[in-house]
Parts: sequence; structure tokens; C-alpha cells
Amino acid sequence: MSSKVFALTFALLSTIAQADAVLQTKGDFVDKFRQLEEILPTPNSYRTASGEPGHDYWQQEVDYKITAVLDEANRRLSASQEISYSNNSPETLKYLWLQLEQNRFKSDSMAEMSGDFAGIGRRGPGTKSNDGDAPAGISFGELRRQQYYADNQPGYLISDVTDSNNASLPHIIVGAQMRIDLPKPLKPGQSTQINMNFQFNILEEDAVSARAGYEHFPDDAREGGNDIFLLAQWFPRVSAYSDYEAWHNKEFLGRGEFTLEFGNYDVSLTVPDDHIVAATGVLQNPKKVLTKQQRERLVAAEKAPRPVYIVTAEEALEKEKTASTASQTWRFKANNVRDFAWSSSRKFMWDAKGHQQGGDEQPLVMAMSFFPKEGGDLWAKYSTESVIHTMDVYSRYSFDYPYPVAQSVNGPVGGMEYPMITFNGPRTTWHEDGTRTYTQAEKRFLIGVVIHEIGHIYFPMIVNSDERQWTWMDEGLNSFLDGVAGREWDPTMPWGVEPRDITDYMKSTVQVPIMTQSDSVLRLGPNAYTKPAAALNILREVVMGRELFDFAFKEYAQRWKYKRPTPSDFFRTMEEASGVDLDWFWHGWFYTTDHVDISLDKVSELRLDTKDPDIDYARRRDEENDKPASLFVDRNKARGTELWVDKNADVSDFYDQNDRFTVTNKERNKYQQMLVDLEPWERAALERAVREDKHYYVLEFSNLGGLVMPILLQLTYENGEIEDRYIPAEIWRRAPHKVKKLIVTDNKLSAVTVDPGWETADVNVHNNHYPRKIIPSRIDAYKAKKSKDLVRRDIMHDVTTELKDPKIKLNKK
Amino acid sequence: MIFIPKFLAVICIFVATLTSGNADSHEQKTSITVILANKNTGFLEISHRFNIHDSEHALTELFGTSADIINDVSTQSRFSQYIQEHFALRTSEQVPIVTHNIGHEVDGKFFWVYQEAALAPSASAIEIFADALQSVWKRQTNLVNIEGLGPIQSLRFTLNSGWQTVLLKPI
Repeated sequence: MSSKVFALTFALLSTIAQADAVLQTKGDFVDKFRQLEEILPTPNSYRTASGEPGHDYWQQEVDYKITAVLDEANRRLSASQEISYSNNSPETLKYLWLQLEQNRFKSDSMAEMSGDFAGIGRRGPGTKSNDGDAPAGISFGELRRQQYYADNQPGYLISDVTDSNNASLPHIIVGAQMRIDLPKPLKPGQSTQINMNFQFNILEEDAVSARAGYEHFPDDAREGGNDIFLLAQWFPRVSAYSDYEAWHNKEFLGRGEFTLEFGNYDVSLTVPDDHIVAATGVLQNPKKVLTKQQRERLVAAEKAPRPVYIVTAEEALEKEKTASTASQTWRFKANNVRDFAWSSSRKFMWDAKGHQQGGDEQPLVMAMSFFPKEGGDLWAKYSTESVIHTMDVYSRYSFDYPYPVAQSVNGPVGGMEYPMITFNGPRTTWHEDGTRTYTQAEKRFLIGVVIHEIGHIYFPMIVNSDERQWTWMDEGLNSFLDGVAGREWDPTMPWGVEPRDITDYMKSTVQVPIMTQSDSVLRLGPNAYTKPAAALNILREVVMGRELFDFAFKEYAQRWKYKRPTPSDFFRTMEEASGVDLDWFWHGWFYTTDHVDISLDKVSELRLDTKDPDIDYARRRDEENDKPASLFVDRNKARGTELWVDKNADVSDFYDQNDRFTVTNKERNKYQQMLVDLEPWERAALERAVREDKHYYVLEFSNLGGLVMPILLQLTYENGEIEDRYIPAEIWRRAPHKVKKLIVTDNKLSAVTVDPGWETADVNVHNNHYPRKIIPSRIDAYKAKKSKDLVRRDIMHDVTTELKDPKIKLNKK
Repeated sequence: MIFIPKFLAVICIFVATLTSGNADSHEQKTSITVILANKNTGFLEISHRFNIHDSEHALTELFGTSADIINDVSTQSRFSQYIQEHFALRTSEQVPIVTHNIGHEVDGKFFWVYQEAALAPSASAIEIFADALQSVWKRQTNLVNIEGLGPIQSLRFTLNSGWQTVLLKPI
């Protein structure tokens, strides 16, 4: 071993030693069932060992009163806000940290300065470096982005930061964060008020990918076109302050999202008076901003069987033609929400339908959608209905939707969630004849994305996990549940995550554990969405069963409704409420990059000896006779070689009549003595076993992927019967690499298959069969079936074929 | 959230290949390609898997017309051709390895494209290039698993990747 290799090995071992307090340092045993207490934070009075909020649980409250003015012509927002901060923690705070997400888009932000040219990580347009063969490249989108930054000044302009006495407060802006020093330390139980003014230029979403911004529609009838404005991360927001992390002042880099504190919002939005505004919260002044007809339509929508237009397509189209110079103020209030977002445009159609969910908390929820003509029929048919379907399904697995409205807004953002309001991107396609259509994929996308984003109102807008630290806690749980909702919408719509979808990712060598901070994840989609969703799917369908899983999952949701859970709270609740030790599952799926590959290596058949020589010797004779004959002997026989014993038949003795399996009384006496010598229970057991004459098989398995899982067995018998058996994952607890299992059957086996339904994300199904099966590769299978592939028909063209009478063929003799 | 990067069309410094425009897409922005050394045939079997939700908007921009992957065979053919044009193999001496089109299919939420390539038994390495859809989305990551030649090997292709090399044991 060279010194470099030695040094590297030592460094690796040191790293491992630092990462794990308890180490197996001899042999190759790996304790797949080591309990998670060594990894999870120590329970305390804020978060208990059962995974629920402790008796001293606390969280801060932050209330906002904001007045904002939208300058449509200059695409600029000017606002002032009063922040009321209540310190419910047991600590005294000398300062407050605020998140200034708009500053992330300034050229000197950490996100911009740390951007890797042609690297991964930043949302938005791309660049391409010179790799030696091809010249470096820069995309039109990146050009647009650069030019946008050259022509516009992103970021907040903040002024007049004062306390309740209008005294200036010292503050410092650090990139996309701001610290405000309080005039005097804020003690536990005290509240303070901060005022400030702020302005910023609204970003063009298509240029910078900011999860919000404006979208311009130059082709509208109005000269100069119109805009849709989506406003999110649009006001300086006080960072979360928690018992486990204190200030969550990790700067926004573009990926990790936006957990905040719950609070009450009172927001007044002044916009052009021909705009429609959709926002978090309940409209406070409908008589001022809505027409009488619109208010009547809203009432009618409450009990309508299908969505009712509040603003029709024709009305919206008419408004697109001109622009008002007057303005009006929409006022919204929202209680117990962790954020506030809104949208504004004269292009919006608006439909609504009441969701009569019953219950005491919020019997009626108004599901509403806002969309331009570009959303068209796709939105009119499916957006609001998808909103209601989501609440219908999600509430069964968590709690009744607690807010008075649930909204879906179409704009330049593909999909993003906020309390009571979501932004969703699918559109129709315009054709030269003036019609608008959409593809089947776009329909699935709309339904799926609305379900997903409305689902986010539950997770994490109400079950307030920290997306910036643990993206999987909202994306993974929500992707799991949107799969449940999607399958209840139409099981033929392939929206949910199947275990088989994640196998190629899980066996790859380039991945990071799910428990990786959001900004450091290499491939966010599979890591934060698909893998955890597949894991929960397997947990529910294979490991725990629906009854236990659903109860525990609902318990988690209800425990942490309007509170701030961490991964340990989820892991502990799922175990504590179900009574199932899942530490092995959490560790394998969430803390490692192991995958599932269980191989069925061998099946051995055993047969119980009866000890009775008259039975056992006969069996031995049969076994001998079942062996193939000697080729040598067969060929001699074929050639007609005459045997000595045949030619000399007159010379014979006892052994020509009695083979070596002949039973004598010597063996019989020994057998009878053995029976007499047995204990009564031993004799009974032997007699019963002989009577039942069952088949005994030893199955040998290898764990090739590292991730332990239950072994799902399918036994196929020679008589054609099929039986499923379940071996719990705990079979691996003392032998993590190889295990054997004895199974006893009434009938003779012909085949054994592991995980026949592909339910465990086993990455290699070739070694799941005994005897081995020839499994065609994907390409072989494709070649075999492609001539019959229905999807290759041009249905869109063929569907226009006119129906014709069949031609009658005259038959003559 | 669901990721929503906007459309971008890549130009090299010298040649503008695409027009600009807008497009939304779904969240994943990933594809998976499996290169399987089929010991029965001696061929490398190449299966590309793309999310349909991810791809359709990008194709609208790439092709300049509406794209319907699920039902429109011409869209499928063009997407298949596009994927094949953005995937390449060559020897370690940088001699191109010819890939043959086997076909393509829609399977649930995925679009699959199949290719085959002959590989010299003595090859000790191949170089791989995979940049499909990266001209549209900066975040597009194409994962390539190489299987059937000992332990699985994986390569991750981002915009910056260019050609990457994988060492082989001969078939």
C-alpha cells in the first residue's frame, strides 16, 4: 500500500468513525436494525420521544399588516408593512432576522456570485462550457437573463425601518437577509412592532425563474399587451425561529424554499380597477371591488354542482382590450397562515365552486380558479374540480381543509404553493384557425399539478416542515399523497409513483441520501420527490399495511397541524402510532444510498426420514432408480453386448435377488427399539410428521443491494396452485448478507419467485426466480411486441375517418 | 413546489440553433438511460427513459409546433430522433460507435427510446455523450447506468459534462 493510499484509507476510516459513534470493527456484520436513537436528536419537553409536540412546545407568531400598490406600467411594487412579532420562546431575543428573497436576484447575491458557469444548481436558463470538443455556449434564455439584469434593478429598496414609536431601528442587510436590532431585548412572552417601507421591480418570471413575477402577453388586443402578475416572496418576512435551529437564517439560494412562522395577515392591495385579484385569505370588501352580479354568482357557486363563472371568458376578453387608469384596493385577511401570495390581472376568468366538506371547522370551502384565455377549456373543465378532489382525498389522510378558500391561478409559474393559493402553469395551444386544444399529457399535467400544489397547502403550508432543510418532508409526503389522489381520480392516469419507477435511480452510483439539505442535493426530482414517495408507498402497501400506515400518517398530520415538525417527529410518530419498529426502514431509505436487490440463490428440497426402514430404504431405492443410467452401459446395450450374468444365468446367489436396499429384521428391530426409547412427545411428533408427509424446502437468499426489506414470496406448486407468503424484514437482523428460510408445504413446489409484483423496488428481477427464468431485456420485449403496439396508431388522424358501410362481396358458386 | 424553469434555447457561440420562447414543464427534469451489455447477443442495448410531462413543452419549442407525445406518432418519431441525436458513443480512441434505432414507445408516464450498438469484444472503455433537453432546461440531468459488465457504473450528465468515459470489462 502506498503512503497516499494509506493516507486516503485512514482519512476515510476517520470520516466513518466521526460519522458513527458505534462501529462494528471486526467481521462484516452490519446491524441493519440498529435503533435510530443514536442519530435522532434527544427528545425533550418541546419534542417528545413519541414524535409529538411536547408539553413545552412553542412557536413564534408573526402578524403582518401590509398596504401595497402595484404600478402596472412600471411593473413595480411599493408597500409599507407593520410586523407584530410575538416571542413565545423561552429565550430573550436581541434582534430579528428577516428573509429578503428579492435580493437573491441581485447581481451581488450569494446565489448569483456562487453560480457555477454551466454547472448545476441554479434554476433558470442555461450555459454550456467548453468541453474541448465543442465551443462554450450560452442560451438565448441566459442572454435574456443577462440583458434583463442589465436593464433592470432587482432587489428590495427598504426604508424607514422603525419601531412602534417611529424611532429608527438599526439594521443590516446581508445578501438576501436582514437583521434588525431591537431597541431593547424582547423577553419571553413579549411582543414588538416593526414598521418599514419597501419597493422592488417585479421580476419577469420567464427571464429569471423566480417562482413569481410577471408574464407579458404582447398579442392581446390592447395596444402593448397585458400582464399577469404573480406575487410571492414579495415582502420582507421574519425568519423562522425554532427550538431546534434558533434563527433559520440560512440564505435563500434559489432552491431551498420558504418556511415561515404562522400569523395573521391584513393586506390591502391597490391595483388597476379592471384587474381581478386572487390572494391568500378572504376578501374583506367585495361590495367595493366586485359587481353585484359577481357577488351573486359567488353565492350561487357555493352549492353549484359544477364551477360557476364569476368572470366569464367573454368578460375577461373584453377587459383585455383596454386598460383603466383608475385603481381600487382589494383587502384580504388571512388567519393562521405561514405566508401570503397573490396575483393580479385584467386577463383573468374566474370560476368557483363550493366544497361542502362538512365538519365544524370549515364546512364550506370555496374552490376557485383564475386563468386567462390561454388556459381555456382545459382550466374551465378541470382546475377547480381538481382543487376539490384534492381536498376530498387529502382530508381523509390528514384533517379537514381548515381555510375558507383554495385557489388555483394560471400564470408563468409551472407549479408553486402558498397558503390558500397555488400557481399552476399548464396551458392550451393556440392554432392558426383560432382554436385552442391541449394534449393528453397537458391534461394530465394540469390535473396532476393542481392536485400536487393544492396538496402542498396541507404539507407544508399547514404541517409546517422546513423545506430548505428537508425538501422531502413536503415534496416526498406530498408526492406520495398526490399519487393517492391521482389514482382516485383516474387510475389510468399515470401520475403516482410506483416502486419500479425509482429502481434505475436507486441502483445508480451518483446519488445522495434523502436526508441531504436541499441546496446540496444532486438530483432534486428523484431524491426529494420520487424516492421518498416510493418509500412511503412501499411502507404503506408492503411493510405496514394500509390500516396501520393510514392511522399513523393521519396521526402525524394532526399532531403537527399548524406546528413545525422535523424528520425525527415524523419517524417517531409513524412508529409510535403503528407499533411497528421502522428504524431499519428510515435508516436504509433516508440515511443511506443503498438499494433493494434480494436474490433467491438456491432452493433445496428436504424430506423427513420416517426412520421406518421399510419406508426409508424403499425411498432410497427409488432415488437410485431415478438417477440417469450410465451412458456407457446404455451404449453397450445398444450395441448388443451380452452380459456375463445373462450368459451364465445358472450361476446366481442371494444378492441377485436382493439389492442393497433390502430391509432385514435387524433394521426393523432397531426401528422398533428406537420408537420405544422415544419420549412420548417425540413419538407423537414423529408419527404426525410421517402421517402428514409434508414437503420441506430451504430457501437461500442474498442481500445484494444492502437495503433490507421484507421478502415477498410467491410459491408455485406442481399442481398449479399459487400461494403468497411474507417474510418480515427482521429476518435480516442477525445475518444482513445471506439468510436461509425453511418453508413447509403440503404440495410439491415447482417454482419460487421473490417480489412477483415488483412492489419493493428490487432493482434486479433476474435473480428473483427459482428456477431461473429467461427474462427478456426491455429491448427484446419491445421487439417482440412492437408490431402489436396500439400506441403506435395515429389515433388523432384515424379518429377523423368516416364510418363506411362494408363492401358486400358477392359470393357465387 | 413543482419546478418551473423557463424555456431557453441553446446557441453555441457561432451557431444559433433554436428560436426563443416560453414553456412550462413538470418537476423532474431528468432522464435515465440504461446501457445493458446483453451477453446473449453481444450487443449494447440502450434504453432511454424520459418523463412525458417533462418533455412535451420542450418539444413544442424544439420543433416549433405543438407536441403530443402520447397520441401523435410524428411527435414520437421526432422526439425519438432528437434523443438519438443527443446521445453518442465512441471508443476511447474517439472513433464513433454506430448506434442503431430499434424503436420507441409510450409506457405510462414515460417515453422510451431503444437503440443497439455493437461493441468490440476487446474494448476496454467507451466514451458517452448525453445532452438531450439540456438546451431547453439548464437543470436537465441525464443519468446513464452501464450494466452487465460487472458492478453497475453510473454517469451523470449536466450541461457541463461533455464526453465522459467509462471503463469496461469486455463482453
